[in-house]
Amino acid sequence: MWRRVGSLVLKELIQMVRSPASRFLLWGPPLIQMLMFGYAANLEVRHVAMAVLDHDHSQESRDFIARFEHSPYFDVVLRARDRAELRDAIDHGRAQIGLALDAGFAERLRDGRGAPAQAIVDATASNTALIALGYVEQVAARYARELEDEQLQRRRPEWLGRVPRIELEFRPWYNPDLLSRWFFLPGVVGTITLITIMTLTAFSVVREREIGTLEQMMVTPIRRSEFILGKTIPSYLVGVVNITMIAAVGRFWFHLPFRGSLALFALGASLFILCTIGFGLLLSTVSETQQQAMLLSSFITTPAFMLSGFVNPISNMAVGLQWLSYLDPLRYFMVVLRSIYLKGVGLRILWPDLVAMALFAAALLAVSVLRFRKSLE
Amino acid sequence: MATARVRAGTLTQADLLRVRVALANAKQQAIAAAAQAEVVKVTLLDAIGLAPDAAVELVEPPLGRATVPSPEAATRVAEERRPEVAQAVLRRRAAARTRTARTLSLLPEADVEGGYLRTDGQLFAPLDQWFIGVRASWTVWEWGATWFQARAAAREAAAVALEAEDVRRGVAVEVQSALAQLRAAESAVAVAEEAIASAEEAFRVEQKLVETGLATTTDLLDAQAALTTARRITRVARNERDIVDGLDRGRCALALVVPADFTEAPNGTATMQAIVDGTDANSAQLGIRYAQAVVQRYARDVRVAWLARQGGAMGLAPSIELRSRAWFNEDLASSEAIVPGVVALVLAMIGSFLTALTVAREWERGTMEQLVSTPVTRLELLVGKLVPYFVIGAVESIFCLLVARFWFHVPLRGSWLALLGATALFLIASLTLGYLISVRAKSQLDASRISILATFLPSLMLSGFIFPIDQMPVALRAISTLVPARYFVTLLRTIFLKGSAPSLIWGDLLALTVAAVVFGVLATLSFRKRLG
Repeated sequence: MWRRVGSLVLKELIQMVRSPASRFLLWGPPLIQMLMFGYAANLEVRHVAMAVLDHDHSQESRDFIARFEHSPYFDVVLRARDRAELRDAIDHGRAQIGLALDAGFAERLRDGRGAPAQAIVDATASNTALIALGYVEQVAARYARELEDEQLQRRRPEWLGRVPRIELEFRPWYNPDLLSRWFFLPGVVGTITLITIMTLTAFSVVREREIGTLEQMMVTPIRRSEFILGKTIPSYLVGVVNITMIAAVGRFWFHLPFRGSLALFALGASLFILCTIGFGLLLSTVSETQQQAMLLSSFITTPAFMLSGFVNPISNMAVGLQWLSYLDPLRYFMVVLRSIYLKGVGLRILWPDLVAMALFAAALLAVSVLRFRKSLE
Repeated sequence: MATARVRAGTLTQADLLRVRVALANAKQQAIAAAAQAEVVKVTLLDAIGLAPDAAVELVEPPLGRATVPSPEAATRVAEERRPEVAQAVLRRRAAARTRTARTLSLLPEADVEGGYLRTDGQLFAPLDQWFIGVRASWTVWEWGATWFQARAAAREAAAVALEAEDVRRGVAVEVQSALAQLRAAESAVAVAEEAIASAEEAFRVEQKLVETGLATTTDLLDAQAALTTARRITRVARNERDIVDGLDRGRCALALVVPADFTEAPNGTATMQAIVDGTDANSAQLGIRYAQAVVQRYARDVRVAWLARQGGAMGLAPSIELRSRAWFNEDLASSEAIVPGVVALVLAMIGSFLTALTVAREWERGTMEQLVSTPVTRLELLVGKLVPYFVIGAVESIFCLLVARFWFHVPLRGSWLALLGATALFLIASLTLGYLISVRAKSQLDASRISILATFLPSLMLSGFIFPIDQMPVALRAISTLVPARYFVTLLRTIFLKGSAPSLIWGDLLALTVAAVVFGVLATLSFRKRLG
């Protein structure tokens, strides 16, 4: 049996590296994607284009606006003369955030009545808008605080240091600089693996069927399960090489921390690769043409990606989708990746995800063996 | 023999060291847990309504396990003792009585009158008269006023009753939460106690070893010193263990640590610590922002109250009231920003996948030779391959757009015409890109892999759908200008959320047109090369 499987594996491997294009496609895309998306995957917001409208023309209003000019988070690109200009800048996307100070800003500030400032944000990209608004709030709060100190110093120096205040210190664990790259890169590792292996295996059976070599294969004494095994092993090898490669890029090029155990990572990656192969082979055995297999695989990949919690936290999804996400192997792998990379937790916490992936892999591979048998009769 | 002894000795020393550390840790944890339990207990007592100093004797016992009172009992006790509750109950009773009085004054009044007149020594006058009479009076004229008074009193009584209920519930909730905290702290103490027990067991074993002469007495002394040190540490250490566990398992994303000296902080500045799970940097940032807002609002209230107590001087607390307005997406709903992006992603994939395999398949099957022998020109071939897929893609696009508009209720501020026009342009660009790939690739497998490389992930990551383009490094920004989906995502968001004035959209429309033409020309040209 092993001799038959072995020669099939050999044939598959030869086929993979036969032409220069196929050789390149084995290692090129994952690497390029990892590099590209490592740089792209960034939700931090810096240099937000800002338009200001100052109707007050006072010392305070100028001071306040200067805070934004000196902040690395904002670039003041426009000083509008009236509201229409401000509106126009935001409408056309020249500025993403507008700050309007009405006349009386300084006066109300001096009276301690609460000076109004209006921040208008282009919320078509809601996440950036939210973060930018947060920065505006921080700048405003810090400005008010410093003004308060100044007033106290001038009028009631004896109260300085007695006025009650609360300092909120933040300690982001696992990711002290709150780099969103650290959050996304492990996810990119999972996504690239999913896509590469999925396309590779989705074509593997249907391609032979379309070209007609499947009939030749069937007259050989190879059994169905051996055939599936022979298709699984090369894909698995490619997957392992790919994931090692991109994980190494993440570790050594992007300096992503790797806090968990390598063995656990290998286990999780293997299980996930097997899941993906299972999906791909299943698609391959049910589809008639390669085009069908490709569309089906994109039909699986997109939801798998969207439901994995790669971008949006699963806990923020609709309840129905949350349930659906349990059917997504990438979801479990995402948890495993992030936990191993950033948190460094062990088997004690990750076992449910690993078990889920193992069950998926076993079920999918078994079903594709069964399907394959039926589809030939 | 000697070496063996030494080896045994070093081994024991290392062991002892480990035990010492474990013991110290356990002690410290236990003390921290106990201290926390005490703090919580004081809070509880406060909630129940005892004066906090009445609990002095409870603060003392270090590691004892206090009995946790049952919630019902505690609530009952609280209701009996809390002054607010008593006050509320009395007010309710008073209000009820007022209501009764007002209602009763609507009724007719009945008086009994009696009189006795004593006369003597007068002519013609009868001696000593008396009478008893009943007088009924009904103040009809004041009915209206009284009735309304009664009604007002009744309303007030109801309000006061509700208020009393509110106070009672508030107290109950306070008690319950204090109890829950107490129970949690109690279990932490129990855990720590177990740890101590095991550490002590290990220490005893160590002692036995010492007694049998495997370790020196200095080691023993050291260990004992360590034990005493551990016992001496009474400072409240933050019990980070629970937090670690919560964050590790992802049960909580933000933990707030209020230090023991929060109310009596030096310099008036109290420091609180917020520990966030930074794995998801974006959510963490939003969480920080919300926490900051809550804390600063509270701090401001406290400050204003303090300044008012010190005698006015409101000008000393200047503040800026930021009124934020999110244009084009008032609720900052992420779905309204994401759904157009998803539409773009789906169309990008469908568009290029549909055509990516079309020519490669002809090569693979060998039908291309037959095609070449017909008098069809390259341009005719391009158009002929594109039109059927364009029809399929158009139907799917319209379906996607309808779903976005009517299922996800994304507002459409621009016109349908602009939307359909932009979609058609993008579809053509994607189809020609797919065709270009198809012409260049040898096999269907390669064609599909290239088209994924060229469409799916770039449309996802470089289109501005998830990650803002203007935050990318320059090189990536340059690459992103080659991704048609980038323009389409911008167009969809603009047309859906902003509007379709020509000045808003012409740039992106132009870019899509250029992309479609360039891909088409490239495909046609490279097709000739392949035939030659």
